[in-house]
Amino acid sequence: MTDKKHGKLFNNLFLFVVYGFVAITIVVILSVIIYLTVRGLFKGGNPSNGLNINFEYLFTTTSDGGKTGGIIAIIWNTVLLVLLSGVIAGSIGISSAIYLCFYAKVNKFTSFIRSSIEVLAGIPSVIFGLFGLLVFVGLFKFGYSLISGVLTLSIMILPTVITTSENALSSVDKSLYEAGIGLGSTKMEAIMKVVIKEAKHGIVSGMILSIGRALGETAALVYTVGSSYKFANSLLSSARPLAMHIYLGINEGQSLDKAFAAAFVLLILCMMMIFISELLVKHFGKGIKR
Amino acid sequence: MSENVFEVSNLNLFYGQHKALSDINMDIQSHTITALIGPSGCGKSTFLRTLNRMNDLIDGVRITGSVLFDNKDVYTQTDPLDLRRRVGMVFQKPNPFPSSIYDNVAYAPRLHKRISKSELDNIVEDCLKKASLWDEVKDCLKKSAYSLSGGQQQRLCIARTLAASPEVILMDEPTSALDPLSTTRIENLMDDLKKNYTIVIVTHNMQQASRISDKTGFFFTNQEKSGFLVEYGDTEELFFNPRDKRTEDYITGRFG
Amino acid sequence: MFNKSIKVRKYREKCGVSVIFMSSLFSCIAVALITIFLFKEGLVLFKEVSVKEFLTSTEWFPSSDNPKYGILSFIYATFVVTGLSLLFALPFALSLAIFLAKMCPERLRGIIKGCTEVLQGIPSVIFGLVGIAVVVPAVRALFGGNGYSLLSASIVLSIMIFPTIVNVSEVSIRAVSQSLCDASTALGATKAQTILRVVLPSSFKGIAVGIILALGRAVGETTAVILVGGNAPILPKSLVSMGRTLTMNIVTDMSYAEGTHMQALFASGVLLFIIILALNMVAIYITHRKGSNKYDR
Repeated sequence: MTDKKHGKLFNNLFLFVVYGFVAITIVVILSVIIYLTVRGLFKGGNPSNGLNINFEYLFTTTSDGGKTGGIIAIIWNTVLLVLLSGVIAGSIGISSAIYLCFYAKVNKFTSFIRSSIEVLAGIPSVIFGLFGLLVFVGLFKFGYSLISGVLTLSIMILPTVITTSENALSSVDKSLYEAGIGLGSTKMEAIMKVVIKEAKHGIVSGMILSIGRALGETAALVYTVGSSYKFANSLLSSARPLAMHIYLGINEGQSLDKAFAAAFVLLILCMMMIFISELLVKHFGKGIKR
Repeated sequence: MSENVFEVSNLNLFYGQHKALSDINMDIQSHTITALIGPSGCGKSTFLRTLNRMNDLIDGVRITGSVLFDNKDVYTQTDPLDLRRRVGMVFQKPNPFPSSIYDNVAYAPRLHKRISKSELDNIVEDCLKKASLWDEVKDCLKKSAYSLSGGQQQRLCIARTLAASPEVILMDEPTSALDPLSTTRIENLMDDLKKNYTIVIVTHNMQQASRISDKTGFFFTNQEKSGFLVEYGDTEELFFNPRDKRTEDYITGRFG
Repeated sequence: MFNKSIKVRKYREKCGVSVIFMSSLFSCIAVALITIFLFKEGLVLFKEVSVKEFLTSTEWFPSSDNPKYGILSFIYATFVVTGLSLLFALPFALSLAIFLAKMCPERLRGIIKGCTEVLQGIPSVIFGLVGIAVVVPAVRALFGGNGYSLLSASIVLSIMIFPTIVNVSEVSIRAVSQSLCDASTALGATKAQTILRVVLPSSFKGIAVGIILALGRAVGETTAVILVGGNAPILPKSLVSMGRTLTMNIVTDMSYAEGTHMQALFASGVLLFIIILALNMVAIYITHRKGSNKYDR
C-alpha cells in the first residue's frame, strides 16, 4: 500500500473512532437524562404503572419515619440551607472578589490569598464534613443543625463565588471605572456605583451556579446538618436537604421508586439553576457593553 | 489677562524603571484650548493624565518635578478627589455609565453635594444644553445611555463632565472614534466651552489642532524612548513657523 | 457649595476597604484552620500507631479489642477506582473535545456543550442512584459477583469526571491557532495526522491540567462511589469485588468513631489532603514550566 493510501486509511480509521466515541458519549448522556426522567416520573420506570410523582408527593410532609408521605418539608429545608449558604458565601465572596480585582497589589501576599482559594476549591467535600463535624457540631456546640450545615456549605462554595465574581468584575470595561474616578469618585464609590452595576448579571449568574453546587452536596452535610425530615424552624434544628434525603433513603433500604422521585425533583432544581445562570450570561453578557 | 491654570515644571514620569516623560515644562492659561500633538507613544496621554492624577491608578508610577494647579501642587497640596472634580476628563472611546441619560449626568452632582431633585433637574438640563445634546434627548432622559449613537454618547460624556462644575476639561482624543459629522459638532462645542472652561486636548488630527486650539504643544520621543516637549507656543506660529525641524517634519507629514 | 464632606467619603472608603480586605483574608483563615484541625487531629494518631503500619497494613479493625488501623486497602481502592475511571473517561472525553474544537459544525456545538454542562450539574448522589439501578445489575450480569464493585464505582466515576476533562481540553485544543492547522494541511497532512501530530502536542499542557483536575475530583468523590462500590473494608481481590476508598471510609465511620478511631479517620483525611495538594502542585508545575518542549514559544 502506498504511503498516501496508508495515510488515508489511517485517517478514516481515526475519524471513525472519534465519531464513534462521540456518538457513544451523546447516547450515554441522553440516556442518563431520559432514564432519570422516566424513572422519576413513573413507578418502576414504566409509564403504565402510573405516576411516581404526584401532587401529594410534592406538597405533603414525610411521615412514618420517612417511609411514606411527601417531601415538601425537605424541599423547604433544602431551600433554607442553600439560600443561607448563598448569602454568607456571597457576602464574603463578592467582597473578596472586589478586593482581588481592584485593591490587591501584585505581591506575595496576594498570591497567598489566591493559592488559598485554589486549595479550598480542591478540598474534597468529605473533609469539609469532617471539619464541620469537629468545629461547628462539636466545638461550637451547634450540634447537628441547620447552622452547622450552612456554615460548612458556605466555606465549600466560597471559592466558586469568588472566582465567578472576579471574572464578572474584571470583564467590565476599565474605562467605565476610569470615568467614575475621573469625575472625582473614591475607588469604592466608582466600584459600587458603576462597576457592580455593570457586572451584576455575571455576579448573579456565578452565585446561582454556586447555589446549584450546594444543592447537590451530600458528603459535607451528612454529619453536620442532621437528618430530621421535618420543617426546620430554627437555625439549630436538624434539617435534611433533598440530596441527603435520597442518600439516606437508599441506605435505609427504601424503595428505589421514592429515591428516583426525589432525584427527579432534585434534578429539575439543579437544571433550573444551570439554565438561569446560563441565560443571565448569554442575555446580558458578563458586564460587556451591549 | 489670563492667568496660568496649570504650571508644569521639570516634570519627569517613571513607570517603574522606564522614564516615560522627560523634563516637561508647560504653562496652561485659563480659557484657552491647548492641543497636544505628536506621534503615537510620545507620552501625550500620559502627560494629560498627570494633570488630573489619573496616573495614580497605575502601580509603580513615580513623578519628579512639580505640577501646580491653581498655584497649589497637585501631588502634595491637593486632594485627588477635589482635583478630579475641578479637572474633568473626556475619554477617547465614549464611556457612558450603564444607566439612564439623566443618571449619567447626575452622577457627579450626587457624588459631591447634597442636592434637591429640582436643583438636579436644572443642572442636568443646563449641562445637556451646554453639550449641545438637550434638544435630542429632552424627551427621553430616562432611556439608557446606550440607546444613543456614538457621537451622542460622547456629548453625553461631555455633559457628564460639565455637571461636576469643573474649571478645566481634559480631552484624550475625544473625536477619534467618531464620524466626521459628530467630530465637527464636538469641535464647535469646544469653541463654545472655551468661554467658561480651560480645555486641554490630545489629538492625532493635526487639522483639528490647528483649527480649534489657541496653543499647541508638540511631543516626541528621545533616544531613551522618553516623551518630551519639543515645542510649545501659539498654534498659528507653531504650524506656520515652527522653530524645530522635527515639528516641521511632523506637521508636513514626513512622519507620524 | 460642595458640601458632601470629602473627609466623610474618604472615611467610608477606608471602612469599605477594611471590610473587603478582611473578607479576602477569610479564605486564607479557612484554609489555615482546616489544615490545622485536620493535621492536629490526624497526626496524633501516630503516637499510637506507626506511620508504616498505617500506610502499609490492610488490617482495619477499629472496633475490635486489639484495634488495628491499616488503610492500605483503602489507598489501593482509591487508586484503582481513580485510575480506572480516568482510563474509561479519557478516550471519550478527548474525542469529544477534539470533535467540539476542530470538527464540529457551529449549531451542533451549542447542543452538545449543553449536554456536557447538564452532566456536570448532576449531583453525585443521583449518579450513585443511577449506578445502583443500571450499572450494578449490568456488572452483576456480565461479570458475576453482586455487582457492587470497584468496577461499578469506576464506571460511574468516569461519567462524572468526563465533563471536567472535556471542558478544559476543549479550551486548550481550541487555543491551537487555526494557522498552525492550516500549515499542516497545506503540507499534505490528513485531518488525523494534523490532529495527532500538531494539535494534541500543542494542547498537551491544557489537557494534562484537565486530567489532573479530574483526578482531584475523582479522589475526593464520596457519595457516588459509596453507593455502588460495596464498601467492604478489605483488600479487593479483583475488579468485581467490593472495595472501600479513603473517602468512603471516612464517611462510613464518621458517625460513630471516637478516640483513636476518629484520629485514624482524620489521618486518612490528611493523606487525602496531601494527595490533592500534590496534584495541585503538579498542575501548577505543568502550567508554569517554560516550554515543556523546546519548541514552545
